[in-house]
Amino acid sequence: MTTNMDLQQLERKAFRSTFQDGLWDIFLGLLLLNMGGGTLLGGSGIPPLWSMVALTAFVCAVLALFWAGKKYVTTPRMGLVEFGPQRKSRLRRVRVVLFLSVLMGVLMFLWGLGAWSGRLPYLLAELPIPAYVWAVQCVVVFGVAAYFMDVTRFYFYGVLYALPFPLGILLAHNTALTGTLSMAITFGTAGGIPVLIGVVLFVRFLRRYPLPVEGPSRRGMSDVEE
Amino acid sequence: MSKSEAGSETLPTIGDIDRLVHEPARLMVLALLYVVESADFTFLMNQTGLTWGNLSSHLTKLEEAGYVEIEKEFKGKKPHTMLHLTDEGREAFREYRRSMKQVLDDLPD
Repeated sequence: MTTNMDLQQLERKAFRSTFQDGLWDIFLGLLLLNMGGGTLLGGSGIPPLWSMVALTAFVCAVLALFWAGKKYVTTPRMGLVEFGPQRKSRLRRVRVVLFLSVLMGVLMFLWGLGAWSGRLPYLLAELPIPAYVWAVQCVVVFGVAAYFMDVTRFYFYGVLYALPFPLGILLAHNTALTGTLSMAITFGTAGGIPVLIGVVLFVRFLRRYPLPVEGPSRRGMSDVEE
Repeated sequence: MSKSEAGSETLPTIGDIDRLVHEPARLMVLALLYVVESADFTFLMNQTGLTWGNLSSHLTKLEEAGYVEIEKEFKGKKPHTMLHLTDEGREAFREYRRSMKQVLDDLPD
């Protein structure tokens, strides 16, 4: 048992422990893999509507898995905790940044739809501006999340999220690979890394935190000490 | 003031230290509950490394002293125990920190 009395460290350690199950890593990795799958589906000749349905269904399945994992695997092993006002305020800031990021993504998507239908002009269509916007947005969002949530590996995930789009474009321009395949490769590789990290963390978590056998009759009161 | 005089003045302060808080396992539990709003039994067990019986025993003492409030509730059909520091417990922990700091600061080299 540690007797370290640095209270901020103690709170940070307690908060970080809620990320030890690897579920966030698997979730974020699968979302990237989903984007890679999306480019493959887009290039496979499947009608766009069906591609959208398949990708949305996959995201919903990932979300459901994440929720079920937290509820039925993590919480019974790790326990429940409610953090104090300072931590809640930090999390609120992350939510605001995430909301703005999603809003920006939706606006970009709507603008893209408008441009595709001919109602809005393409903005610098010849330049891969969206790739840079995407990259900057990912680095900022994950950077803010990593800073306020004290989860260092989110900085790395920010880079992993930022790179596939511009790298895919570079790959398509400089190799014989098609754009679709380039994107699938870069998104697939970048998505596979968090998933692998998450699986390792998850296995380690299951070993480290077995289901508690509650009650003095099972654990024994013999070890009660003053 | 000579070092021996300074040393003798710290003795009453050491005597004033709250022994209920001073015990390492309870101190760890109190420190954890101080930095979070509330936590359940399993979380405290994992974070402190204490066994069920051990933690239960310490929590009973802290509850009897009025430092910790134990809320038993049902999540679905399962019983669930959430714990949080009372205002008295928070103040006791703050006072303990102040006293210990003073004792250690006043100790002669």
